[in-house]
Amino acid sequence: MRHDHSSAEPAEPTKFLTFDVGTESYGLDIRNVREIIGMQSVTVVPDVPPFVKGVINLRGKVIPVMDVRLRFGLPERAWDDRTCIVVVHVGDWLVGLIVDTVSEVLDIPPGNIEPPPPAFGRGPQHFLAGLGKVGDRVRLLVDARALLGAPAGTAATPTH
Amino acid sequence: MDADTQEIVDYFLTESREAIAEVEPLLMGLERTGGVPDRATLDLIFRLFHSMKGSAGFLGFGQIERVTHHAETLLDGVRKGQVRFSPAVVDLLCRSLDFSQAALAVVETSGSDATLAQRAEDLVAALSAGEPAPAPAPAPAPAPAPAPAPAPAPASVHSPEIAAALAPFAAFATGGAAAAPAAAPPPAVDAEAPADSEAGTVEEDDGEADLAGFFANLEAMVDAGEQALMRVHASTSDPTSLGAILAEAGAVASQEIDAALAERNRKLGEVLVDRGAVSPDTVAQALEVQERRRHGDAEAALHLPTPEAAAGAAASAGESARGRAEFLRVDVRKLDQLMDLVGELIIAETAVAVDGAEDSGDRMHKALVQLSRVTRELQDVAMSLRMVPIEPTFRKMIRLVRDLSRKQGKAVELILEGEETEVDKGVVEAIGDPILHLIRNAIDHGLEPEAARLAAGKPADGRLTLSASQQTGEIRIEVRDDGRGLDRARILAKARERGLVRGDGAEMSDKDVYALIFEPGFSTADQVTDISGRGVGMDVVRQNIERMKGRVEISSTPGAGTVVTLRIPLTLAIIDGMQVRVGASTFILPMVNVIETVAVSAKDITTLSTGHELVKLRNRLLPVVRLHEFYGITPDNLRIDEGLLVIVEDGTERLALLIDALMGQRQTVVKPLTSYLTGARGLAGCTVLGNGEISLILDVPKLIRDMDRAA
Repeated sequence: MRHDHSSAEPAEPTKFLTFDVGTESYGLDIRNVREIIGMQSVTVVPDVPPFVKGVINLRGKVIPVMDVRLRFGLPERAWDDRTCIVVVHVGDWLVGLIVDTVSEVLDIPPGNIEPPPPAFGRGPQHFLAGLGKVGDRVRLLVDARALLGAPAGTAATPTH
Repeated sequence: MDADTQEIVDYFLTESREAIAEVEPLLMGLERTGGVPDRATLDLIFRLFHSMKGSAGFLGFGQIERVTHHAETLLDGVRKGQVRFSPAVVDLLCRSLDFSQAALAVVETSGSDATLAQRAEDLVAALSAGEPAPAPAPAPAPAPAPAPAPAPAPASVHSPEIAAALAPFAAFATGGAAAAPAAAPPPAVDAEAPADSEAGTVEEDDGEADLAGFFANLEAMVDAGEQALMRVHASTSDPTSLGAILAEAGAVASQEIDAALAERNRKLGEVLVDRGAVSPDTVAQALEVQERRRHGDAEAALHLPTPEAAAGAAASAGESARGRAEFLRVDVRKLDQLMDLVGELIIAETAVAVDGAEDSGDRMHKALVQLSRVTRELQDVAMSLRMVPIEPTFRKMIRLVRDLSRKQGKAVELILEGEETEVDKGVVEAIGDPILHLIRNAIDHGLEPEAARLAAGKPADGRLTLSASQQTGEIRIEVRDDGRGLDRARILAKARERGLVRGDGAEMSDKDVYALIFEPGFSTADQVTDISGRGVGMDVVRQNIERMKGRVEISSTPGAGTVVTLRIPLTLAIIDGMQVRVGASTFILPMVNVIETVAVSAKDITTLSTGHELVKLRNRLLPVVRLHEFYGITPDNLRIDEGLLVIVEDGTERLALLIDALMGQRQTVVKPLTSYLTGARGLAGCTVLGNGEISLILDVPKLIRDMDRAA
């Protein structure tokens, strides 16, 4: 029997995977997260926006990877042993997100989630699904679909 | 609508559409030949409407139910010989099919067919006018049960068993969907026909498979109920009638007897033997039973050895399974998963083979060879799973051609060739629209009106040929007409008007001139006819084909006709490729496109004032393509004479690609580049090499075209 996620009881908290990019901590709905892997060699692919670094070999599957720092308009940073790839799936797409570090999985009840503020200028504010309050910290919750944007290519680069 | 109901509706939509796709060409064929359909065809059409009526009624789609009910009644009249099968009848049936299609679409988007009430009303009025007066005897001729239904067992004359057969039906009718009906077949008296275990109970919380089963059970119950009714009819009618005796024993399907009885001037037994429905021996035995019954022996009954009874009963059930029993409906996503896994298996196997072959003994080597063989075979089978015949797509065109030829007032003969050619399922789905458009185009613009054709010495009927064939590594589909052909001068004039050519185009080859019609915004139609004239068609056709990594070619002979050829590569999972390196990137060039690799010296290179570079090779001048420039890579060598040139070709055009090094030839698994990276120019996909590296696969024809565009 298929379980209809959209009709889940409202009181249930949603689980978010938290990760760091730059100085901020972000959260990603765990239902979009397929797996987390360490950094591996990336094969460059032509004709892609600058934040798409190329493709990686995920156990035989070739998936594109995005440098989230660049997507957020932050300067690039050398990858180190804490850099991770968060593999997310949105619809048919499987894309790896390169982030500085990955932390924990948090439960955030819907009551603690506020809609995101209007987005101006450049930066991560364009990709937020909401703001989640956990204790006295506020996490920026990322909308995976918005983050991925339109298919990466010369024609349809999402504009800010 | 909740998820479960939605699933049932989805199933209804899929089933109905498939049935319509099967029935429509048959109707068209009948119309053309003006013949009377045979029993099997009539039954098939009848069953379509019958099933749709039942399901629509259950799901509350009142309009569909009404229309299909009247269509069914009309067909029943034909079956019974009360209504003559005429073009008017075909028309009514076509309209009913059209209505059904429209209703299915409306239901799909809105969940209800209520908005079609007026249209249904009109159609029902028309259908009723064609129907026979309601027959006095109520028992409707039952449609044969579909494959999953249990084979109806021979029923006895005793009413309690018939009542038992109807009991679940009654329970269902009173208890509604929430009840848990058991779909039981009429109990077998002689237990000759095996009762199918499909009959089961339906509970509220069943999984996906059970929903389909529920549907099948519902159908089975309705049909079993009807069968039971027929039995009642047969058994309460004269028990000494030959038909009743044969039907009871299950030697002949009840509907066969009906059909045979329709031939009034001949003896039933003769007709049945003639039709092959029963053997002469069985008839002889039945006649004996008849004699005994007439002499008062009420117990006399025909007993058949199991095979024939089962065959007779199975004939009723399976007669129109028509190959449906040979197929299994599979979720395409599961198939895709399987394909993915097989691809990954091959990659893993290659890795093992590459490493394992080196420091291994004989046994390991043998095992590896075996592994390799099995993996390749598995790959072949997996590939073939996605291949389906193009036939249904082609057959859909029959209706289109009929409608268009009527609309345009041009008689058109449609010839289909190579329908059995198998094509990847994804292609089948995507190719329908392009073919549709090409056919529209051919009929609208290609074929001349009758008068002009006769004047030109052509037959009055325009000839349209749709053919499919498999060539090395590709599927070729042709749309050929014997019409007026393409007018080079007119095309050039229009192209100049649209700014698509500079100068007068006199130096352009015919092929290039004709190809102009695929440019966006191009159309030489004087009047806009439907979609055909608006200039949005041909370029969309080309785009769609290119999206499948295929090509469109067009050739024509003025006055004689035009041929449009679609070439779509077979979904190749493994190709022979030449691996090359440019800077830090590696590419795979399909061997199919590679001619040779050469090193040249500076004297063979010519640079034009435009900056284009040409290389002289055996008295031919070939353009040089700097892959590093095209892809923005930093190469080892910037000088052509310090690198290597790979000569590649695509049909008639040849290019010299500048690379840094050759890495060798290898078989590679082609994986499509995820749709997330659609902008990549000139790439056919990518592959994972044995050492885990990813290599991009160059699509030579696409490369050539993308370069032409950039130029």
